[in-house]
Amino acid sequence: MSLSASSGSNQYIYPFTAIVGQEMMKKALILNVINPMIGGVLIRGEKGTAKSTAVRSLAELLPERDSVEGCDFNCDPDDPARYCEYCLRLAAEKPLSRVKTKVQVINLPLSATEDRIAGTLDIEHAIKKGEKRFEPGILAQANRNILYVDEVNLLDDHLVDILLDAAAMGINVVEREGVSFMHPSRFVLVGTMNPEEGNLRPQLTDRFGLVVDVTGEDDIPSRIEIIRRRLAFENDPEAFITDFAQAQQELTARIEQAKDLLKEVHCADDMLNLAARIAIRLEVDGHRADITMIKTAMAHAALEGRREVTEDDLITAARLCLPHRMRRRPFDEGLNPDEIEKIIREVMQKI
Amino acid sequence: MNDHVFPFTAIVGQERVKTALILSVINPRVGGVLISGGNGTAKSTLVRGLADIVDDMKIVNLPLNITEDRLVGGLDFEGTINHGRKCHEPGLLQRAHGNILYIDEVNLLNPHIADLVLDVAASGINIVEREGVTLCHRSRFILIATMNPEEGHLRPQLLDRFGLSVTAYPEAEEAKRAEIIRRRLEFERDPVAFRQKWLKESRSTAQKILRARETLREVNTSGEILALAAATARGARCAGHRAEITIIETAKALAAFKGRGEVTTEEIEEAAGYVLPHRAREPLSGRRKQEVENGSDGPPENAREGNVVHLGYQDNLPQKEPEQDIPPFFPAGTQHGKAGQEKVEAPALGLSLRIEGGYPRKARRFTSSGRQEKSRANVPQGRYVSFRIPRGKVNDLALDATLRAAALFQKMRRRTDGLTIVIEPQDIREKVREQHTSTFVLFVVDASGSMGARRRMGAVKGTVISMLRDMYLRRNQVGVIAFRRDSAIKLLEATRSVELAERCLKDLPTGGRTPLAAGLRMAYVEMKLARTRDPDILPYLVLVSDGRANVPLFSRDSLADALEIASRIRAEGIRSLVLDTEEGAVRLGIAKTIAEVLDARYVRLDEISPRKVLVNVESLMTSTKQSRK
Ligand SMILES: [Zn+2]
Repeated sequence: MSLSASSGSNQYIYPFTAIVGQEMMKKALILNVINPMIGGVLIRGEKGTAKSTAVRSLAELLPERDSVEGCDFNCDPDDPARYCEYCLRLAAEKPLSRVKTKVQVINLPLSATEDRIAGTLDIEHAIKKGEKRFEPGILAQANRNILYVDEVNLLDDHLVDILLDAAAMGINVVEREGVSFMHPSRFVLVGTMNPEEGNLRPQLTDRFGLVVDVTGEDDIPSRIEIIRRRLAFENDPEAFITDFAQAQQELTARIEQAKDLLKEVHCADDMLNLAARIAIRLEVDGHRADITMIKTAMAHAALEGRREVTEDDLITAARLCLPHRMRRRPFDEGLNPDEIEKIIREVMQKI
Repeated sequence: MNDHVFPFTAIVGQERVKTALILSVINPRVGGVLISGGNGTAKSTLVRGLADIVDDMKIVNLPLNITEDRLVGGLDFEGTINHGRKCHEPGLLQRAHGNILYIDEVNLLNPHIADLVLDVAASGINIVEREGVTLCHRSRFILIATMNPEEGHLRPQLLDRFGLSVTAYPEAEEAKRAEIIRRRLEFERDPVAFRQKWLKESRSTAQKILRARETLREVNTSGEILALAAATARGARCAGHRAEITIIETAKALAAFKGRGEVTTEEIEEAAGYVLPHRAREPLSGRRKQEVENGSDGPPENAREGNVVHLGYQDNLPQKEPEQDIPPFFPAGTQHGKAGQEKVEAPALGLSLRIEGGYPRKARRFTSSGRQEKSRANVPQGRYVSFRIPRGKVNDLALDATLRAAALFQKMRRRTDGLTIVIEPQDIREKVREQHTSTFVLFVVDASGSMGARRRMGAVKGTVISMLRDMYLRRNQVGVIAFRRDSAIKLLEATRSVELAERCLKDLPTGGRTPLAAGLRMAYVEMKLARTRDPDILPYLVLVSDGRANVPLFSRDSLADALEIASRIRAEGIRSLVLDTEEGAVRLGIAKTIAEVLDARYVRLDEISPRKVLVNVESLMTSTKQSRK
């Protein structure tokens, strides 16, 4: 039951564990769920590489969490510091009632207008009641959810600005069209893009914690398996979902355990120094790379069931965090994850 | 939401930024701070951290989505309807009074909004005269802003409004970087405990600031010190007296913060390091401005001119050469440098070719079939910044403004259909949206081996950089494509950042064959794409090449391929300029042929070295025929 979609046009959602290959993409998504502070994933690749399927399947996999009942901003009842204005007022009077909610994938379409994203004056309410009320936008829905932007490189500049503004603080500040409002907006940002259609602004690229490049599976057996599963799913989705129920439950449990374990994961000073040295060696921009590298390594350790960050965690993290953060020279291809790993191993040798 | 602010005192390094911020809150006469820096350099963390060490001021955040009514304030329609009389609603500028006004990414702020903020920042008074509301209130605030120069520069008028400017650099030291990670992890794990841990330090800094504020008035400035400040400002060729006054106010704040009763040479020097970097530049001189406006060829310019317009945004640290402040786009000695026959030539600055304006005001846009395209006026685009009384049919209703207009008359109007508000035609207001139509100038630069001969690439780079700078002053977008060996690459996406473009160009190596067709095809795709993203953009192509194509794209004839794409670019109605780099006794004149196919303005590089050529794009349509003779 819990595996069927609660809303949306497709009644059934393809199970995450049934996706063939694309291991790095799956790992990047899972790590972001374990620690939402990693900062999201940018998935680069051609069309038709199951990017949006993966994101939707991931959300389906996640366990329910507590939210404030009736809150438009999906406030966390256990985080009063981030309550919206309504919850703040309400909480002063009586304890807030809780409700279980699922993590949702909130779509940000390229055609979205600025007021739809940021939120604006509630027109109907204004006309009927003569009162000002804030009508929440996409950034409100996105709070504590996954904000998904397909073809993020084609998003209009001024919409990107609004997105970055909110992402920087985790708060959406609205001062427009007669309303003045502030609400929490912390989301896992997942973007997809086809690099052939143009790059991202450096600032937006840097906001994505991790980057993965996906390509279609090359080997024939994998391709056959993809087709076979897709057909099976379309033919009888319920049976297909049932087939993967066990795998799904196991992964859900593993993610839950990792989330709990993350609180105990320790990162030795050696590892912090190593991350700093790698960042200096690869001449990355700013400090976000080092910080994200360590957070990702810790989430990876937790996923592997360990309490101590190892060099292998750091290498996996570096492969995901660094490729998009290095300055490129003209006519230079940049470094792919394998080359990054090679350099990191050299850095490690020198210790 | 203070509980989630990273403590100011826990931020590692960034001492200059911290000092500038502290000085600006000790002495509001300093006039605010502009912090520039790349991604992930803790710029906004520093500003938000101020909340911890300044008790009597709020940080009022000016979001990029702000509309005019919320900025300056105006009629409150809710109150007006309910009470039957005019009610005012304060805007952000009123809230900012006596506080800190913080603008993140100030270089991305809508120009109209920015102008409103500037007016008030200069006068200290916000006068509202709109929607039947007359309002006047004091609005004195400390303006603090951050920006990433890679995202575009700040208009000089805005730049001048900031008393101090500092750059946030990432830490280069391993131990400090590790400490940054450690503290960030600790903070995210338990923000409340982390803040508690740093509370004592925050309190002590807050106390120091309070004490400095109290003693500020008693800080002495001798006549000699005043003279030194004036000389320092004059030495940096700052216009007016604002710079020296700011140096003195900053020096006083520094002395007070150090607990000194007297400003010494040391404080003046230190203050100058914060006050002068963004002012020590020469604006366009009156003469040059006039030349540009008249569209006439000027006399030969000073050969160093290209260096004088100092647009790279850096701190003027006395111990460093300004050039060294910009990290190289491509750090030497790392993983690169695979190819054998290549060299990187430094740009020869001083050559100057200017492109003026863009398309004529009422630019016609053509579809691929050559017909003029209909305006997309019925699709509201751009940021909503303000409103107006509509002329003709309304398709972009500004509801908030309409409601405010209607609110005044609700007592007199009969309410029907259970609606609270009756709106009549005269109430209707429509939105005024930000006009971000701009020209997108795409440079397509030949970086093949033939360009490397006789240091030609240096001249090309110098010319392109000077054009880029010119484009920036006119708020255009620029992009750079280079082609060599077997392919073309995008050096720079469409951006308003000149700094980034310059860096890309400086490090562009030369060598290999000439895939001209590939370069043009990429330009073609890029411009079509730019139009998809923004249908109102006006693309303009600048091809810099000797035209000696020798890598075919789809046939066997490399030149035919290039010409085929050139004709497609022309069919799109894209205007262009060909800068022919061919020189020497034997000339093939291929670039000229390409220019003809493109219907482009044609200029030879060797023509612009001895004297300045002014290319007026607006006159291109009439001048192309002449240039073809
Ligand atoms: Zn709430």
